Amino acid sequence: MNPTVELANVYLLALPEIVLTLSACLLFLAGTFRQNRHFWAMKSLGILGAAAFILALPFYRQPVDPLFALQAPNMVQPIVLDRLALLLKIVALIGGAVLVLFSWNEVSDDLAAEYHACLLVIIAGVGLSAMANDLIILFLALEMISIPTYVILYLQKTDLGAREAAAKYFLLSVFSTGLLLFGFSYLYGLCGTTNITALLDGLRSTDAGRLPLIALVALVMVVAGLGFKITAVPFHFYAPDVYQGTSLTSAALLAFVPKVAGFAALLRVLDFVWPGNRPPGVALGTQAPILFWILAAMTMTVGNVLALLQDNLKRILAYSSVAHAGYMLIGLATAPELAHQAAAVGGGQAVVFYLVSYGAMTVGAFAVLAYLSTPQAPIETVDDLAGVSRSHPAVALMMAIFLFSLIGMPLTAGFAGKFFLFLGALEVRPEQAVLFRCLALIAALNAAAGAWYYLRIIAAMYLRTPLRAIDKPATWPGLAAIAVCAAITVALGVYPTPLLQAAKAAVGQ
Amino acid sequence: MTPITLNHYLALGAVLFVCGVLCMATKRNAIGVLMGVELVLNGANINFVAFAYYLRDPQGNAVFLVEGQVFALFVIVLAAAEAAIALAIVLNFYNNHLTVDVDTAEELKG
Repeated sequence: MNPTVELANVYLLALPEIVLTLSACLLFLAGTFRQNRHFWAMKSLGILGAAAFILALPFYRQPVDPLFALQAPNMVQPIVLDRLALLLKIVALIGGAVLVLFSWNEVSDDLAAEYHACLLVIIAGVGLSAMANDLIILFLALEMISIPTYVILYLQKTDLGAREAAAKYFLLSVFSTGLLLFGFSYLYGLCGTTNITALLDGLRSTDAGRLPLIALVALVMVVAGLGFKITAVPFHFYAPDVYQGTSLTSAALLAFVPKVAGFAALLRVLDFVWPGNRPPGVALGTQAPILFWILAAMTMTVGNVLALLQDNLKRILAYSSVAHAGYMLIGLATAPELAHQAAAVGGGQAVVFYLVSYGAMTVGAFAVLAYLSTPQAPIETVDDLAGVSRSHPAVALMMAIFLFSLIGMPLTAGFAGKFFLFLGALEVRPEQAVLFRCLALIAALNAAAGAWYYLRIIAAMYLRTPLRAIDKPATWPGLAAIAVCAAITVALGVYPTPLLQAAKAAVGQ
Repeated sequence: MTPITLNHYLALGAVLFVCGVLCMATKRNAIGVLMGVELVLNGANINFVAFAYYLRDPQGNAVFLVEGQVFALFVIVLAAAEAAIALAIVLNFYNNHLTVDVDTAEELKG
């Protein structure tokens, strides 16, 4: 096809992201003229709505308009709108709207426009990284998430702790970018192309024995670079410090957005290690699951054990996000085998499902803390939540839902997600059954250990007498954010089938 | 005298990368850490440009692979953008701590 036409199509596919980014530029400019947080929050909700409308528009007439029809990744286009991209873009837009509602009253008036503009660019970056079919686009999209995140961390709070958090996050994130880039350069050298589909094709067609050592180096570097984004151990150590130092809105953003983008990138780039229609036993096909096995076991154990020792709520939630990244890594470890034996629920599918559930329950928990905090009396330790059920029964109930979901109680999203992940580990066929049963056992023990620190919070809310009165006036945007998260958490727990099927269609394994 | 081959450039890229990582790990001065970041990014850049120049198509013909060069250009631009934000963060760090020694920051631990 004519390259010019091809490029025009690509622009159309990224139209929602283009709208988000251009609006963000306008917000940066106009922010100097009007300093009102509610005004800018309303505007960014509107912009997110417009992006969602543009995303939905072509599917209204999909059979008529083949240009927009969902397509499989090909060797020409740098970005594609396949089912995985579509699902993650919807997740990003909903997540973005929740974050805007959540930060409605949390940002200061003079920085509101900049904050919301950065948020819009980050959402656009998530959409682009989900669509990326080219290493260059993937790298740029991940940077589109990282750079505004530094700005948000830097702008929002001005005390010593926040400055330290911004510096820490920046240095480690840039280092992870360097690792990722170095891995990408070797991948490029192996195949001579940056198109991910062509790259994967080239790697698959290489004879297994002849795949050079450099491929393994590239794999380790890419996993390490993305490991920072998903807070996998040993790249997790920044998370508790940064979450503690920064504001609740930024902490929620950090817990949710980089994980979505990181797992999307892992699912796309590491496709070459899943055997697919090749027999297993490919050099990387057997080594990669072991790598993820070790990462998963370490990540969930370290996250849960260290969370037991914490008293600061932000640090507890930070270590909890590390532990949940560990659960999701189980899905990546089991994905090749489950794809090979055509299991009912594949590994990648369980990862996508858990990613959505995790996002709802973690952002919800942060939103509750933000809802109850005031600048004079922030909610910081478990003691601060004592007796909340008496002053704010509805909010305490929703917090309990999020925490039960994080534990993995039945009828919540956390249970369904963990069930599919652990089930996958138990279903791996005989040759590796012992190995993966061990992983399932470690995961079950971890989930039990994790229950302790979540239950401690619930017990404080319901059983203890208040240490001080929490008199925060009710605000509807904060409540709306909490309610949306709670609705998603319960809905996915009660009726997981639709998302599970969407995830299956998206990942295909 | 042996001609310079792809491997020489890859070795240079790897050495730059390792120097950058060591620099980031050992420097206490925030500006020094930023220099380490630049070394890491440029180590990857050398790989990209070298691959783009030396790679052959399956028939063994020399081909010009533009992607590697383009990637390197994007990385240079991004490194500049990151340096801008980094300097803002470091300047602020200096305002709060009156030094750019990263070890003085110890508010957050546990």
